[in-house]
Parts: sequence; structure tokens; C-alpha cells
Amino acid sequence: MRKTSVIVVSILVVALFTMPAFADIQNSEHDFTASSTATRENTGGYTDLKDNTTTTCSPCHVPHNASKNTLLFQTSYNDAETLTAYNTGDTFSAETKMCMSCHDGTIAINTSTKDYMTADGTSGGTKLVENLGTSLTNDHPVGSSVTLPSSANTNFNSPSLVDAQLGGQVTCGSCHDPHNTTNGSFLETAKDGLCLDCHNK
Amino acid sequence: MIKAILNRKILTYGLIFSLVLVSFMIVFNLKVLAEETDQNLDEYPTKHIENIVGERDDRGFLMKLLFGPKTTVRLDKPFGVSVDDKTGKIYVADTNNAFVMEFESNGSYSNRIGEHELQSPIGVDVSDDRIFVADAKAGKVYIFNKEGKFIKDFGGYTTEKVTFKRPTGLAVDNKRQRLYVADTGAHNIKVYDLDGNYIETIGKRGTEEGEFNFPVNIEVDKQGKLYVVDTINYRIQIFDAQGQFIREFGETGITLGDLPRPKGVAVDKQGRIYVTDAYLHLVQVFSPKGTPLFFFGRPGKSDGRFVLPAAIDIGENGKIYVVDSGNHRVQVLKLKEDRGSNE
Ligand code: HEC
Ligand code: HEC
Ligand code: HEC
Ligand code: HEC
Repeated sequence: MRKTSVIVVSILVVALFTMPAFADIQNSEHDFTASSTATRENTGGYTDLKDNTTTTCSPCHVPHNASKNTLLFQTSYNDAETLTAYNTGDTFSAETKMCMSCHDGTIAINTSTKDYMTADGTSGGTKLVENLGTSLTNDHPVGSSVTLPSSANTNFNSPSLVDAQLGGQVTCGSCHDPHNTTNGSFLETAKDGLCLDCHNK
Repeated sequence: MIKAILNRKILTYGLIFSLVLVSFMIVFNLKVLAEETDQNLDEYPTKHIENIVGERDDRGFLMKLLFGPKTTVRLDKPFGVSVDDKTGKIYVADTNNAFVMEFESNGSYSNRIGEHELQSPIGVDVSDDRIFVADAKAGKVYIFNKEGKFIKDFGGYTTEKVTFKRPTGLAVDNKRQRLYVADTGAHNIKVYDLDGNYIETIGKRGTEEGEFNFPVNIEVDKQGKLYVVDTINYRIQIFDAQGQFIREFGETGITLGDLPRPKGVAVDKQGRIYVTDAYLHLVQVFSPKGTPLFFFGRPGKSDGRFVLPAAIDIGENGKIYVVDSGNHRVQVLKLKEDRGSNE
């Protein structure tokens, strides 16, 4: 089971990374669609996005189509400049920005009314993602460059369940896996273990 | 049994072969990418005029001189912007502030609109004598007069008949007395008169001409032509004043002219079409026919750069107002000496 999933994932990765090359010979967008939707169905909140002929994956995995006779932009993923986020000097990852490009109140919600927990797991704490967004003073910090655990900060465990430091910072993807629908809310791991995976109190 | 072993072997060799192939391709692609991005892109110079960042507490001259003007309410998650060509006033809708902010043409804060009515304004536009605001959270469109006095609202999620699923961008055609509202959740454009009486609905969900997939913003030009940001179809669609499809342009990708996440649209005096993109973090400018002409901005936080740009508007005076939501500001820009006006 594990093996097959590894194979499937590697084939998908292959498909994703080789698109620009194949684009020279084939119609890449169709290719992308065919290879992706056949193997990995997103059944969570994205049913909406895959209605009709719109593909499930291309909204997030924007094809880098090099076959067209025009110039490529330096993608936002090469963004070298830092952005002020939760604390000064913090940066947003490309992934966080990608999530926010839909979760801005238009295509998808940028506020939530759900119940939240404090870091020690008791309820009634900070509204975790009440205001998903760029100013996160009342939400969970993303884009924080705090390294986990650090000698300066003893409040953290070394996380084992979540991807704590995609590029050295907390991102939307630290807690969420946009492909994983088993835990609800696209969470990386079950809600009860999620917080204490990083926080130790 | 033998078959199974054979299959396994084929699988293993196949995998090794494809991995080797892939490594070659990755190397090749990186090279191509590096070469392509090194070239000079068709970036157009802009003059940065000012940043609007929020309400300032406009105290006396002496206080300002001593302490500098203090920003009391910061823009947090702005989305909508509209400039009133009659008065020069700028209206900004911020989803995190339960009111629309009004600024003088010089960027100084002047008034709050709808403080007692709005929950989470997202789209804003003005007619001769009114201000129209879409509130996605309330599911309503609100109408105010220019003094900020509430006139009426319509829609709402609680009523029996659901008017909007998620109203976001809106645009006023003053001449034809029409209000267009992009209903992102319902994947269509709803048309009203300027008193909020329903006229008709344009389009439905789909990818064909005249169909939409999460339309988030709209603009009307002088001839009454309608420009719709059809975000998850990665394109702009243009309609005539009767709602008939004229043309479309854009697709997903990261080359010049692509629109992987279009968010705002505006048309200048020459009919050129400006489109913000929250994936590329810049503004691209197209000819009236939809041919890419040039772009301005890049990802970043310095002046003239953008993070998650949203709505855009252009004044009669040529000033360009871009909501730079990730940097919590509205940037006011101007194109440097105009080139290519006869394109
Ligand atoms: C909501 C946005 C979103 C959608 C929709 C989406 N992905 Fe992803 N995908 C991501 C992000 C973000 C990453 C990077 C995650 C990481 O680095 O851990 C990723 C990573 C991947 C990877 C790399 C391996 C992995 O799992 O981390 C593969 C393969 C992949 N996606 C395939 C797909 C396919 C196939 C689809 C369509 C069925 C799809 N994705 C739809 C956001 C998305
Ligand atoms: C292409 C647009 C798009 C992008 C990009 C996107 N989302 Fe979403 N997301 C949606 C839509 C649409 C919904 C449905 C909810 C709604 O209508 O607001 C949703 C719902 C969700 C939900 C709630 C799911 C539930 O079960 O209630 C989570 C959590 C979420 N997204 C996380 C993410 C994360 C994390 C990323 C970045 C990796 C991301 N999204 C990127 C469009 C998007
Ligand atoms: C520290 C962990 C964490 C981070 C970081 C995080 N989230 Fe979440 N998010 C959660 C949890 C936990 C929930 C589920 C809340 C619940 O179901 O009670 C959630 C729920 C959501 C929902 C659904 C809310 C609803 O009302 O249905 C969305 C949408 C979402 N997150 C998007 C994002 C985006 C976008 C980011 C990045 C800006 C982000 N999240 C960062 C933990 C996180
Ligand atoms: C990926 C690791 C990680 C996970 C998982 C995580 N956190 Fe955090 N959390 C952090 C980091 C890093 C900080 C920032 C600490 C700092 O800036 O000093 C933080 C800060 C906080 C804060 C303080 C915010 C503030 O305003 O000071 C709270 C409260 C919090 N987290 C709650 C939670 C809850 C609740 C969950 C589970 C839903 C959770 N965290 C999951 C890493 C994580």
C-alpha cells in the first residue's frame, strides 16, 4: 500500500516537473489535466472547483508552459523580498500567498466562525483562523520565522506529525494539507494532536 | 507467478528509466527557465505617487509637525477601490473593517461610510450621486448617498429567496443607469437599476463564452461595455451594453499575458485593459482586442511592487489606484510618459 502510494506520488511529481519539457511537443494543459485527475481526486471542499471541465489541480499547480513563444515571468515563488507579516521582518511563504489568492473573501472565505482551542488543547482560546489573512494579530501566526524548537523558545516540541518548517516558517501548509481530506478542514493530522505537535503547553 | 515477477521487473526498470529521464528533464528545464527569466521583460515604468494606508488622525498643524500624522485605523485586508471623478474622492472597501473608507484626492482620510450597516465590505463603486457597496458576509448590496447616508440595501442570506450567494465586485454604468454585481458564489452577473430593482442575470457556471467560474470583479467603460474578471476560468470576458458576448482573453500559466489569478480590471481613456493578478503579483495591460502590451510591478513590498493585488481603478486624470492587499495599502501610480498610445 505504502509502496504503491510512493510510486503514484513519484509519478505525479514527475508529471508536475516535466510539464515544461513536454509542453514543447504536446498540448501541455490537456496533458496536465489527464494525468492528474485520473489519479488523484480531491473530494473535499473542491468539488466546487472541479465542476464542469475545470481541472482540480491547475488552480494551485499553475502550469509553467514554456512552449509559448513569450517570456516567462519570474514567478512569485522566487520572491526575494521580505514582507511584514505577524511580526516585523517575518515573511510569507509562496504557499501562504497562493492560499490567500483565493481565501481573500471572494472565491473562498477569509474569515471563519468556528470554535477554537488554546495551545494547551482547552477550548475557548484565541480564534485561530477567524481572520485568515495578512494581518494575523488575532489569528495563528503564519509566516513567522520562529524555528522549532529553539534554545530561545522552550515552548515548543520538535514536531513529528506536521510539516513545521516549510522553508523555515509556519505556513498554511504547516497545519493544512490541501490534498488530505481525512481529518476534515484539510488538516495535516487529527485536530486533537495538531497543536501539541508543536506547542508543549 | 512468472508473469508477476516479470511485471515487477518491468515496473522496476520502468521506474529507474523514468527517474533517469526525469532528472535529465529537470536539469534541462531549470536551464531553460534560467535563460528565459534572465531576459528583459516588457516592464513599463510607473511613477509612484502615494500610498494610502488607512485613516489618519488629522490633528492640528502643530501636533502633526511635532509628532507626525498618526494612522488610527490601518487598512488590513482591503479588496475594493473606486475613485469618484467628480470629487476626486477615493473609496476603499476593506473586508476587515465594517465600513468603507473615504479619502480625499490627496490621500488624506475624510469619512467612514456605512459604519452602522456594513459587516465586511468587499466591492465598491460610485454613480453621480450614490455609493454602492457589496458585502460578501452579509450577502447584500448597500446604497448610500455621497454624504454617506444610508438609502437602502437588498439581498441578504436570511431572506426566503436567496438573492446572492456571494456578492463581491460591482460596477455602475451611470449613463445607462445600471448596476452590475458579480455573484462569485453563484457564478453569474446580476444586473439592477440604480435603485436596486432587479433587471436580469448574465451567464451561468461553465467555461464557454458567456459562462463563468468564480467571477470576482467587473468594470464598465464609457460605451457601456462590461469587462468581467472570470477568475477560475483564468480570463477576462467582454460584453456589450446589451450583455452580448464580444470577446475573451487570458489563460492560466506564468508567461506574459497569462492570468493565473486575475482579481481586478480597469479600462483607461484609450481603452486599454488593466488586469491585476494575485498569483503573479503584478498588473498587466492589454489592448482593447486583448493583446498583451506591457506590465508593471513585481512581487514585493517596496513602492510600485505588489503582494496579492486586488481591485484596480483609473481616474480621468490618469491616476491608477491599485489595492495592494498583502501590503495593506492602496498604491496610487501613474504611467511614465505614455508610449504606445496608438496601439
Ligand atoms: C488548494 C490548492 C491545491 C490543489 C487544489 C492541489 N494541490 Fe497539490 N499541492 C499544493 C501545495 C500547496 C503543495 C505543496 C505541499 C508541500 O510542499 O508539502 C502541493 C504538492 C503537490 C504534490 C507534491 C507531493 C505532495 O503531496 O506534497 C503533488 C504530487 C500534488 N500536489 C498533486 C496534486 C494533484 C494531482 C492535484 C489535483 C487533483 C492537486 N495537487 C491539487 C496545493 C494544491
Ligand atoms: C483556487 C482557489 C483556492 C485556493 C488557491 C485555495 N483554496 Fe481553500 N478553498 C477554496 C474554496 C472555493 C473552498 C470552499 C469554501 C468556500 O466556499 O469558502 C475552500 C475551502 C478551504 C478550507 C475549508 C474546507 C472545509 O472542509 O471546510 C480549508 C481548510 C482551505 N480551503 C485551506 C486552503 C489552503 C491551506 C490553501 C493553500 C494551500 C487553499 N485553501 C488554497 C478555494 C481555494
Ligand atoms: C496553527 C495551525 C493552522 C495554521 C497555521 C492555519 N490553519 Fe487553517 N485551520 C486550522 C484548524 C485547526 C482549522 C479547523 C478549525 C475547526 O474545524 O474548528 C482550520 C480551519 C481553516 C479553514 C476553515 C474555516 C471554516 O470556518 O470552515 C480555512 C478556510 C483555513 N483554515 C485556511 C487557512 C489558511 C488560508 C491558512 C494560512 C493563511 C491557515 N488556514 C493557517 C489550523 C491552522
Ligand atoms: C507548525 C507548528 C505549530 C503548530 C502545529 C501550531 N502552532 Fe501555534 N505557534 C507556532 C509558532 C511558531 C508560534 C509563534 C510563536 C512566537 O511567535 O513566539 C505559535 C503561536 C501560537 C499562539 C500565540 C499567538 C500569539 O498571538 O502570541 C497560540 C495561541 C497558538 N500558537 C495556538 C495554537 C493552536 C490552538 C494550535 C492548534 C490548532 C497551534 N498553535 C498549532 C507553531 C505552531
